[in-house]
Amino acid sequence: MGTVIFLFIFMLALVLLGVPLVYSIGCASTVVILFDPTLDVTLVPSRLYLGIDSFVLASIPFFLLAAEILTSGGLIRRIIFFARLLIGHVRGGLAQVNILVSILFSGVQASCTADSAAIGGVLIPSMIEEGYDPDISAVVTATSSCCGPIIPPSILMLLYAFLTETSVAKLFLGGAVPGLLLGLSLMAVTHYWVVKRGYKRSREKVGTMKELVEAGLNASPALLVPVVIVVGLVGGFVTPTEAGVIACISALVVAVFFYRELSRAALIEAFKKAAHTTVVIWAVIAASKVFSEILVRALFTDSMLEVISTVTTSSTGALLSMMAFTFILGMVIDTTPLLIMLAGPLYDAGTSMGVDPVHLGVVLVMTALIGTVSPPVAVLLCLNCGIAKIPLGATFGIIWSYLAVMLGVVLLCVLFPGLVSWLPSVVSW
Amino acid sequence: MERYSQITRYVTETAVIFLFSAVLILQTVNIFFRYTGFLAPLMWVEEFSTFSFIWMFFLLWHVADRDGKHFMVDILHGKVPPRIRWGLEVFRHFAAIVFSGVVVWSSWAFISVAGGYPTNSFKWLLMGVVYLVIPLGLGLVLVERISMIWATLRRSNN
Repeated sequence: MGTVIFLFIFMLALVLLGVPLVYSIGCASTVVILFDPTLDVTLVPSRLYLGIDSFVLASIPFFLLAAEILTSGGLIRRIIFFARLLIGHVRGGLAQVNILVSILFSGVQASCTADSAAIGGVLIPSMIEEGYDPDISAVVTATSSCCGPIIPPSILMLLYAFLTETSVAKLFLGGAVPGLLLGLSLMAVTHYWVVKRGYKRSREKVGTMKELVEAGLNASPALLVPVVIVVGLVGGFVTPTEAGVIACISALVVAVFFYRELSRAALIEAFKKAAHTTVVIWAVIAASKVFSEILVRALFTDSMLEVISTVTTSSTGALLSMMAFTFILGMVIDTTPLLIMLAGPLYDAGTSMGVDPVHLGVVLVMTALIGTVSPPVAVLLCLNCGIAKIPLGATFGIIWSYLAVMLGVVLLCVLFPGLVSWLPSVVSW
Repeated sequence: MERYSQITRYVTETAVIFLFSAVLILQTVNIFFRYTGFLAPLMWVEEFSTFSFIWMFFLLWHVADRDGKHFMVDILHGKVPPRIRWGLEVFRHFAAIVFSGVVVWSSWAFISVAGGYPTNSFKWLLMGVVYLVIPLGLGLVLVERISMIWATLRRSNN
């Protein structure tokens, strides 16, 4: 146990000193291996390789590529236009449009940072131009981006599935209801602030049926891509990697033949961006494999189980304590690396205490995402504050209400597992 | 050194786009074969895809270092005096150099032990050849980080 404590303290010290996570995890693990005579140094390269030697993991570059192709192909503009016609007439319409766009775009983008950058880059300046305060523009964009990785298809769910060998289809379905619930809750809290601050409508009336049908048809080819992925996976017709390939081909067809906005240079750029994002995610996965090898050999899960069982013996209590642990770490560590580091050990401990793996995965992903908009670090909120040109502190007046609502939704999902398990149980495959 | 970075970035990105496109095309063909029954799916495509993505990952790792794209927690940056910020930057490069150096050094021993086995789909291809990308990729990281730490140290002298 002494080795594990040293490993964690050393890694956390490196993280806090600003060393990239891959090197914090890698250096801490390497030092332990070098000083432990029972461990061989070749564990480092072998586990680095084994960590990413997976056919399921190969689906991630494809999903990222599909998202890049659709983003470069002009999808965002079409979704925003459609959402404005649909709900732009309600009070504070543009703020609500922001949330609706995140929900619609979520199935395509699947990464909250990319989602936030893409949508925030367009909608935050428009919101400020229409008289919204910069703080609410940044907060709405940041918090609504958290819906994306919960609503299927989701790369975070895919990662959790890979790390814990849980069914991808069940996880995708399990995230649908909580994701929509989160979106609706964010719309409600936004409405509260809109009324309190007296923001106006972005359109006087709802779009005509003709306008709605035209805009809907224009956006639908791209919005069908995630539907194809989810149906293919849930129906058991395709493997995750095949689903990724089909997503890429569908995205290419939509961008080239329907929207005709994708140039060759943009396509090459899409390949590069997808590859670079893959590297950043996989680097943490690879380094975490070395780290987890030490944890396994030190029987870390058993020790963790002992600690949790001193706090609670019920599965709900265990899930709540894991939620609290994830939320605290999520305040300083980004979602993807956090999930990679925690999924394995928490899965082992959670399932031993009777927590359903799908339930655990959805709660874990949701909680980690909330961490990205929680000060002091709030990676996602910082990104949007940058776009809105305000300091992070300027959002403190309203972010608490959004955080309270988001944590409330996760708490509901913990206390009522049916919110997560209902859809996977009614859809048979 | 700037020229070296440009060349390595260009070469590795070109290789990666080629590999990525090849995998996408082969996987598409395989899906077509599988669902139409036109021909039997090519069994080697799965392993080829995995190897290609692993090569892509290791070859591009150094570019993420150069661009500062790796996940990190930067709560101290901006809250400490410039001198300490400079010291932290040197320390970050040093940590990356230690890690990549150990991987490059230990991967030779790893390849000599585990690299003699043939791959499942390509009997003529030894796993050692596939594993070669580990020292190659981390070697690129090592050179990149050494150049970065050198630049940081020189900035202080100026």
